[in-house]
Amino acid sequence: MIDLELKDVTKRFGSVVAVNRVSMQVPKGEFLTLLGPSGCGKTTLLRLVAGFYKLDSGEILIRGKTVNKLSPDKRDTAMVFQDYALFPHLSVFENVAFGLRIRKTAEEEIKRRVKWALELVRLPGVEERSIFQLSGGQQQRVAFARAIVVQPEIMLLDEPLSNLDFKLRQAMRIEMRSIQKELETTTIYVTHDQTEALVMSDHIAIMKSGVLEQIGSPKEIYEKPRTPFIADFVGNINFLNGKITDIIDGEAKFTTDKGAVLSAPFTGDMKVGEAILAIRPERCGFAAEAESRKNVLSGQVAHKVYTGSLIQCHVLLDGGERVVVEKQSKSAADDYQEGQKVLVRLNYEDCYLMTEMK
Amino acid sequence: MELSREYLLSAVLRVAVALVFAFLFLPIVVILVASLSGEQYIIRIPPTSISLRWFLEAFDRYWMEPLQLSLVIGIVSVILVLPISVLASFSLARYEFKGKQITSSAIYSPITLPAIVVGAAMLQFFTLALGLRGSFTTLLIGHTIVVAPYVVQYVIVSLQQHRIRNLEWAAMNLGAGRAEVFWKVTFPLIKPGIFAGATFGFITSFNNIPVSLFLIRPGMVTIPIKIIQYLEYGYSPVLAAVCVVTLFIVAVAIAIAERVGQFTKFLQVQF
Repeated sequence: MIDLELKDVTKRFGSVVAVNRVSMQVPKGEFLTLLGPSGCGKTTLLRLVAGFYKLDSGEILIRGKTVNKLSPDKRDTAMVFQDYALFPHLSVFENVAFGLRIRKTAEEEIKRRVKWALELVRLPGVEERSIFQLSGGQQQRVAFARAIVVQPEIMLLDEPLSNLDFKLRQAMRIEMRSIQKELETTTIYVTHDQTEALVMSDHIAIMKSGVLEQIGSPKEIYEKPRTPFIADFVGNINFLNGKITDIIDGEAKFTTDKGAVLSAPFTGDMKVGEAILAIRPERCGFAAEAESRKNVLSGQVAHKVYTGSLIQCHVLLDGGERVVVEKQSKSAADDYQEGQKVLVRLNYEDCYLMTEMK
Repeated sequence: MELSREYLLSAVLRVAVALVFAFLFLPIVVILVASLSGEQYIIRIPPTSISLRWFLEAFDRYWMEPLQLSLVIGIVSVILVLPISVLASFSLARYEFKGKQITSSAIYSPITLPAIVVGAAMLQFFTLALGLRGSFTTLLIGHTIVVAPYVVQYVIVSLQQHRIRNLEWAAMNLGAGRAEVFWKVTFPLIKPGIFAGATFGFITSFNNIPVSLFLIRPGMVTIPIKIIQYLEYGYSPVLAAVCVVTLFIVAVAIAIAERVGQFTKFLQVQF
């Protein structure tokens, strides 16, 4: 069943097109992340679904019914705001109970549900506190509980973890996701944090300048980014500019602007002409002298960056291009020194050619 | 060396603050002392004898009637102005409309224009244009206009707290309709602002001389004007007693507003 459907949704603010003809379908129980840099229209899209803004054209359907003309209170969505938007004049209990009171739920039922929601977010026993007595992380949990307690058809989360410190954010990702899986609530999650998107989502929708660039599973987005923008935004990547010179037997021949010759697997939409070859740093390696020379380039280590679990070697190729090679620390890469001559292999299977420019 | 300099600076600052407070509060102390004076028509500081006779005199109809009029005018004008001002504040803070600038200038004109001009203009408007004589109603209308900008000012500031928009959205999102959003979220949050505006509006009305001056008539005079009229004939410690009673009323008004609306919380946060 499709819980949320967007058809050509467009929203303008003055002359700025904040959301430009975005279409997508979100099945029941799915966790979909809207990912993009600030100003890409992801928050606007979320607010359109909630009904805070009126759309200029297109259609939004929740469970098959168009909600274009419904005010926010008539839509069965619940949002967690970036600043939590907890009511400062109400206690924790009354904050969580707010939606239930509006729905004229019986007092006993309210007590039961609020208790359930606060236990779900692992924050029992704070009912009578003022929200000012809670830490940022606790406030975030209360905001989540307040949304979840009304058991909405669709949960909308607007960068709910961005104000938390790193460790807490990591823990909350896993926790929110497991609650979402348990309740099977269809969830739209807005973030500019690509790691968060990869870790939490069933599907990721990448937005740029109001346009939906690509939608797919985290793996598809990471492995098969449609454009250099996406490849660069999600994870780290090496780009080499050049030309596809030939396509033979399912293999595309590529020459970089500096003259290095490489090859990559052929996929449907490639043609001879200008292109960008992309490869993730962890898919590059170092080659020994004796091995096959296919996709092997010589250069020297310009910088070595130690990040704890990983080592990143920035290699200056003989042609003048730079390639980052990422390896586990305590691997052979440890032995390379800055300034040392090396052979870099760009793993053939992981080379990815894109004809659309940045 | 550095430390002692810092110490010196902080001592100078303390003295300066003490002087400012003395400057602000000494006149009140003088009035309090004078009101308790036992002398006839002359004030000596410190007083040579103490009595409550001036207070007895202050509670005479001569003073109490103007005082009562000032209270009633102040309270009623604030009550009248509150709903109007809250609505005006919403339109000015939230919406773009044609003539917004003019509307806002018109509301604020009693603050921006010289008060004496406002008073003279009202007199001419009521008498020449409408053919009305000075009455309770014209005085009340005049004060309502004078009080409005104070309330609007505070309510607009409280509506502009950046989080209110999100909080209202959160309420809507949880199913609250327009009225519920206002009464359950917006109103409790702007309540301190409304009470701050109402309190200062009341005090403004209670203190007002220039507008009242043009709109009163014999036998219907507000307390500040009564005091001025009395001063024209001379001085008596009864004036000090009247001032103390007036001061007490204003203090009680602030205390009540603070108790109900907690507006100092709002003032501290905003300014």
